[in-house]
Amino acid sequence: MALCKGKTIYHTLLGIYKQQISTSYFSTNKVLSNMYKDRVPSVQSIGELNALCIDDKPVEKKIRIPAKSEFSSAVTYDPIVQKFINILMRDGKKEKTREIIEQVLENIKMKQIENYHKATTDAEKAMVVTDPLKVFHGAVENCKPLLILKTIVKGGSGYRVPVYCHERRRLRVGINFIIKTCDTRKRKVPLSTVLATEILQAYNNEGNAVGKKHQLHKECEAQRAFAHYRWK
Amino acid sequence: MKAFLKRAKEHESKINKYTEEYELGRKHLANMMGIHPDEMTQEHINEAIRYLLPSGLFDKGSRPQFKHPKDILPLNFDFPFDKAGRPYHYQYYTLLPNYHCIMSEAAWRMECLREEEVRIGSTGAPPQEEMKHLSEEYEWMDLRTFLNYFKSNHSEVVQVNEHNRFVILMTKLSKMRLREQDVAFLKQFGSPKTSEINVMDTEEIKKFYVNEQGRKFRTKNGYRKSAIAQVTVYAEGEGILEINGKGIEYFESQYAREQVLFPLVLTSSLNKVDVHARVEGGGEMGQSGAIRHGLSNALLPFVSQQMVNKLSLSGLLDRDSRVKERNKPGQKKARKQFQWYELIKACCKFLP
Repeated sequence: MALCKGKTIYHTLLGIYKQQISTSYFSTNKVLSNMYKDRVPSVQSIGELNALCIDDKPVEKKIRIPAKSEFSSAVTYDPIVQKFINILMRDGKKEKTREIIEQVLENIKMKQIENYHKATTDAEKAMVVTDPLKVFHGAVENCKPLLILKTIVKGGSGYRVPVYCHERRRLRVGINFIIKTCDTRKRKVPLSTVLATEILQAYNNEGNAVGKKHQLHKECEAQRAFAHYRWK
Repeated sequence: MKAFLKRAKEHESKINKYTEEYELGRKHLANMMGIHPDEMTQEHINEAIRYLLPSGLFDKGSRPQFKHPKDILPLNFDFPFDKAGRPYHYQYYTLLPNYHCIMSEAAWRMECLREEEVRIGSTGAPPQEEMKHLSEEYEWMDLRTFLNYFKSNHSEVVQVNEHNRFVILMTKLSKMRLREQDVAFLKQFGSPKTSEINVMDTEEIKKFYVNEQGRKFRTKNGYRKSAIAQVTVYAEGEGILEINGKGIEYFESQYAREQVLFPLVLTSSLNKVDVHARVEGGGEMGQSGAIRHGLSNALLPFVSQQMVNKLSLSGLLDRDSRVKERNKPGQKKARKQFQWYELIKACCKFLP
């Protein structure tokens, strides 16, 4: 019976607490200005822009963030590919990494065309995806983990605790898995070929990059007992 | 008590000294500029100092200034307690007396209103119609105005937690049935919500000039990272693009060319408009960013209102304020530090 009492008290307190704090406290533009410290613009692609501006009326003057120098209306623009380029880049050499990734997308397309011609029946031909951007998006999606291990210090020793995280963090961890499995220090092979094979395998849920994700999930299961350390 | 007396004497002597220096310097300045000292205003002084002692510091508070000491220091050194040492304000020993005075007054008013509601509810009368609460019409004080309110009037330093508690209390109070005195008390700390929407100036956007041959055009400057561009856009054209005398082959990389064409492709005016541009400074990507900034600002009068909204929301009309960081003394570059034994060598330069 003690458990039921605690539950009822908790729910009634929640209801009172929600009534006291109104939503208008969080809805003014001046409070939102603190969120723009990260300098992430609200519009990432041209499709979102077209959805926002339909009528001919003037739009109110909100806090505007200038567009980056990669943002363009070209057909080949993709925000996730630009993120991949920024993470791959070293020492500020952007032209070099752009050439590598153009080669990667070309290699993916060549391989898929081979598979297309090898397939005999029409049903198998329809299953083969030749658009390199779709393969890229699918591979990154398959590499994203659901939970992440975070070290929390309690009582002098550190425990690794499974924790939810933001979409941005999961994207970054997934991309890191792909990049770190492609090690060309001991092989004399260009990076673009190794990356292309990894991405194709990740699209089909095979390979080492997806294996790292499965390993992370198993470790999270093993540390399940410490999950309540997330709250104090 | 003795410490207060000491400080008051020092304060008086300081102010007298500063006023003498200020008067002397003012007369010398008037002599240099050729104006009578009685007719000289603060604006003359500001202009003169900007000319004599120019500085490129970003922080405007740290540039050289010349003001009367009453603008900077308080004139009278007020004692917050009487001769026996007893403070005047009843909350002097909380270190923020005026803030806690406001909060306790609001809490006291809330209790009075609650008792009234209990009294009305016990009589058994039916509830009145719903009134419009004050919280829907009024917006409470921002963080910055809150800090300035206490700093300028009472010279107290308030923190962010106190601002949060203040807002929660005021919203709770405003949701009750208020008397006239309560409304007057609350109106000090809020401003009415503006129902008007801040819209871009339409007059400035639609301005353009006319050529000798009768063609409409508009010129605007574009900036990015130490590159400056001057862009002129002629309406009713064929699609000519000229950059420093050459075509689009002035840029070698694909991404720089895309940036120049971006605003034209968005507004679908590739073959309807002529563009002439002149660029100086910076590198390849900086110059293309500057042309993009100038182009999108110069295109505005020749395009519909829907496109103007799109250009403003996509962020093409604003200048990118990211600039190379300065080098600092005691370090090699902006962020790179010395190794520990090299620090000693670097510090020896500053010693006599």
